[in-house]
Amino acid sequence: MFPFAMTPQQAAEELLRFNKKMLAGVSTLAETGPISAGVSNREAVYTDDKLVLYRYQPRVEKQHRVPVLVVYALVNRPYMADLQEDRSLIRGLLDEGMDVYLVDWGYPDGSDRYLGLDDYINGYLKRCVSYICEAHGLYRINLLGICQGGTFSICFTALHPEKVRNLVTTVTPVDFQTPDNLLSHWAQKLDVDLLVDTVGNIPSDLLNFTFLSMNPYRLTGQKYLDMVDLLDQPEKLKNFLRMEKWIFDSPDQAGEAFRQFLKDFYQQNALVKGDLVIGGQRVDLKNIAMPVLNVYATLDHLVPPASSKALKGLVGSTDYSEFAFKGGHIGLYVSGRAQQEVPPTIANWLKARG
Amino acid sequence: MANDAFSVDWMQGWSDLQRKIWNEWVAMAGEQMQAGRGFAAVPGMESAAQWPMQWLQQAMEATGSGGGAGAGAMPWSMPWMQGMGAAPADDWMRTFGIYTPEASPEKSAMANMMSAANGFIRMSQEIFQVLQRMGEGVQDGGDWTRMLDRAIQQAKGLFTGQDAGRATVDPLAAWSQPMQAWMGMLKDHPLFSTPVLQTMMAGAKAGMENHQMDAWMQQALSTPGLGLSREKQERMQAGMRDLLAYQKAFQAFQALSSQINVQALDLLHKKLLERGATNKPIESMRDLYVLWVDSCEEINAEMVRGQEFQQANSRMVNALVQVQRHIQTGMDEMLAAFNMPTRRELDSSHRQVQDLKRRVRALEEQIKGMQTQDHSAELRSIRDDLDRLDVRTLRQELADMKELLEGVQVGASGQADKKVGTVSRARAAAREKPVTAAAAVKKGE
Repeated sequence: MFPFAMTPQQAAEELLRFNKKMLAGVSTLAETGPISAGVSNREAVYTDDKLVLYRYQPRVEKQHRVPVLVVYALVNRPYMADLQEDRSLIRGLLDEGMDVYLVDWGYPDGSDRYLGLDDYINGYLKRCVSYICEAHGLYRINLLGICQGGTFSICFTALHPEKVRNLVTTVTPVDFQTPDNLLSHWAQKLDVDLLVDTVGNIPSDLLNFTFLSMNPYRLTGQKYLDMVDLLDQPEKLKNFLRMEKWIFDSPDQAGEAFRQFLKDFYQQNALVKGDLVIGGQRVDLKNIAMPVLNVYATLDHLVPPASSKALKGLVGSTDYSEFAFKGGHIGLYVSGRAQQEVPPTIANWLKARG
Repeated sequence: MANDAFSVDWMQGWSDLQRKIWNEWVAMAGEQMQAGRGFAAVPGMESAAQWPMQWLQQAMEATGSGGGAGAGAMPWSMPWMQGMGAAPADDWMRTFGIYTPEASPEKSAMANMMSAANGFIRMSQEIFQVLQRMGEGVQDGGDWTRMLDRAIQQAKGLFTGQDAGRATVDPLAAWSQPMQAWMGMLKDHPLFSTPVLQTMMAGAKAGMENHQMDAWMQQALSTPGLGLSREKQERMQAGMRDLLAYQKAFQAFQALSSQINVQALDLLHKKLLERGATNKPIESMRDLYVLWVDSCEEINAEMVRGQEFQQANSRMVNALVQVQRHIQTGMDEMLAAFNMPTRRELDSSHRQVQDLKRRVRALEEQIKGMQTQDHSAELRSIRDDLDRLDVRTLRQELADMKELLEGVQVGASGQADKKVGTVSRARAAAREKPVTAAAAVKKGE
C-alpha cells in the first residue's frame, strides 16, 4: 500500500494553515512580555557570598515541627521547584504543612572560580543547616536534595550525620557509571584539567549544549515547530516560555567545583567506591544511618533510575524507602501528575518519622 | 484512501487552489496592514506601505500566480516561497513588518521557532516535488516502491555529495532540517564562536584543502627555530599544530555526524514501508516531519552511545580547548606587553582571595567554638538526660496527678494526701537511676 494519503493540494492547504497560524500568533508572542517564574511567597533569611537561603511562608496553620531544607543543583536555577502555581513541588510541600527552606546558590562569576566542593558542602551548605538549626532550636533538620543537590545532600549527610534527621533525595545520581548514563560516557575521555585551566568557570552554554545534544533534533527543531500550535493559547504559550526560560537560565559553573565533580564523580565514580574525599574527610555512606527516602523517575534520561537506586545498598540506614515516579527528570517536578503524587509522598514520609 | 492521493490529475485544479491560496494570502496581508503592521516598519519597503495593493499586484504578476498569465507555474510555487531566500518564513514575516527578532522580548524562542518553521517549509517544498514525481509516475503505471527507493537514494546523495548539484532549491534543505538547526547551534557553541578562533580556522581551512600543503605544513612546523625569536617561533609552531589537530578532529566529528542523516534516511524508508504495510499512511506534512525527526533521534541515540562517537567527540573538544589555551597564552603575552592585567594574574588573585576567605571562616568557627565550649558540654549533658527520661513513667505520673487533683476537687482531701505521698515516693525511686547516670556524664566519667 502506498504510504502517503495526502494530495499535493492537501499538503499545500496544510502549509497555508500553518503560515496563517504563525502569522496570527507571532504578534501574540512579541507582545507576551517578560516571563516570570517562582510563585510562592518567601523571605531571604540568610546570605553568604552569592548564596541566598529562603524560607517560604506557610500556607496552612499547623506546620510540621522539623523544617526541610531543599538543596538544589548548581546547574540551572532552583525556581524549577516552584515554577508556577499549579506546577510547584514547594507549594505542594507547604500545603502539606512542611516548613520549607531553599538554597539558591546564585550565579558564580570569575571571583568564584576557585570554589571547590569543600566550600559548597562543608562551607555554604553546612552554614545554612546551622542557621536553620539555631533559628528553630534544633540539632537536626530534614534535607531534600534535587539532582546534583541530592548528591551534595548525600555527601553532607555522610560527613555531618548529626545534623540530618531525615534525608530525601530526588532524581539524584549516586552511581555515575551505570551503562545507560550517556552523560557519563561523554565525560570519560574529556580532559577536564585542560578545560578548567583554560576557561576557568565553565560557561553555562557549554552545559546546555551538552544537554541538548542528548536529543538534538527534538530539542532544537521539533519542539519549536510544536510551539506554533500554542501561539493561539496564551496560557499554554506562557507555560512553554516559562520552561524555556528555566532551561536556558543557567549559571556558569565554578571551575574547581566542576573539575572535582567531573573527575571524582563521573570519571572515578568515587562516591560508590568509597574513595571520595571532601575537605580532607572520606565520604562514608555507611554514616547515613537516619531514615532515607529516595525518589527517582522511571523515564529519566539524565539520571537513569539505576544510578539513583544504587543508594540502597550503600547507606547504613535500616529505614530506606524508594518512590518510583512514572515520568522524566523534569516531569517529576513540573508535570500535572507529579503534583498529585510527589509532595504528599515526601510530606507523609517525613511526618511519619517525626 | 491512500491511493486517492494519486488518482487525481496533479495539474487539474491546481489553478483553483492557487487562486484560493492567493485570495487568503491577500486577505491576511490586508488584515496585517490595517492593523498597522505593514511595510512601513520594514526598511526599503516604505513605498509599498503607501500603495500596498499595487505592490501585491506587481508581486503576483512577477511570480506568475494569481490565476493570471502565469497560472501554469510549478505547483509547488507557493506565495511564501516566491523570491524568498533560505529562510522563507522569516522573510515573509519581515515583509509584512510583523516581526523582527531584534525587537522581540522572547528573542531566543522566536528565533528558534522561525528557524524550525523555515526548515519545515523548505522541507515541505522538497517533498512536494518528490510527491509530484511519484504521483505522475504512479499515474503512468510505475511501481511506487521503486520510486520511493529512488527518492530516498537521491536524498542520501545530497548528503554524500554525489547528487548535490541536482537539488532544486538547496541541496540539504529538505533532509537536513532539523540537522541544520543542530549544526547551527554547534557553530554558536561558546568554545567555537571565539572571533580569533574563527579567523584562524578560516585561514587554516584554505591551506588544509590541499594534502600536499598539509604535509608541507607539518614539515614546516617541525623545523626548529634559531636565534633571538627561537622561543616565540616554537610557541607559534605549537599553536599551529594544535590548530591543525583541531581541524582534523572537527572534520572527523562532522563526518561521523553526517552519517546520522544518511542512516536516518534508511530508517525513514523502512518506517514508510511499514506504515504502508500496516495501513497507517502519512496523512500530512507534519506527520512526515515527525517521522523524520523520530528516525534522526533513533539513529543519533544509537550513534552517540558508541565508542567511536565518544572518542571523536572528546578528541574534538580536547583539541579545541588546546587551541583556546594557546590563544589565551598569546593574549596574556600581549596584555603583559601593554602592562595590562593578564588572565593568569587575575586567576592568581582570585585563588589567594578564596584561600584567605577559607582561613577567615575557619578562624571564625574556632572562635565560635571557644565561646560556646562550656555550653556545649552542658548541652550534651542535657541531651543525654533527655534521652534517658522514661516518658511512659512521666505520663503515668501526670495521669495519677490529674486523677488526684480531680479527687481533691470533689472534696476527698484526706485520702488524696495519702495517695500523693505514696505515688511520689514510688516515682522518685524510679528516677533515681537515670539521674545518677546523668550526673556521672556531667562529671566527665
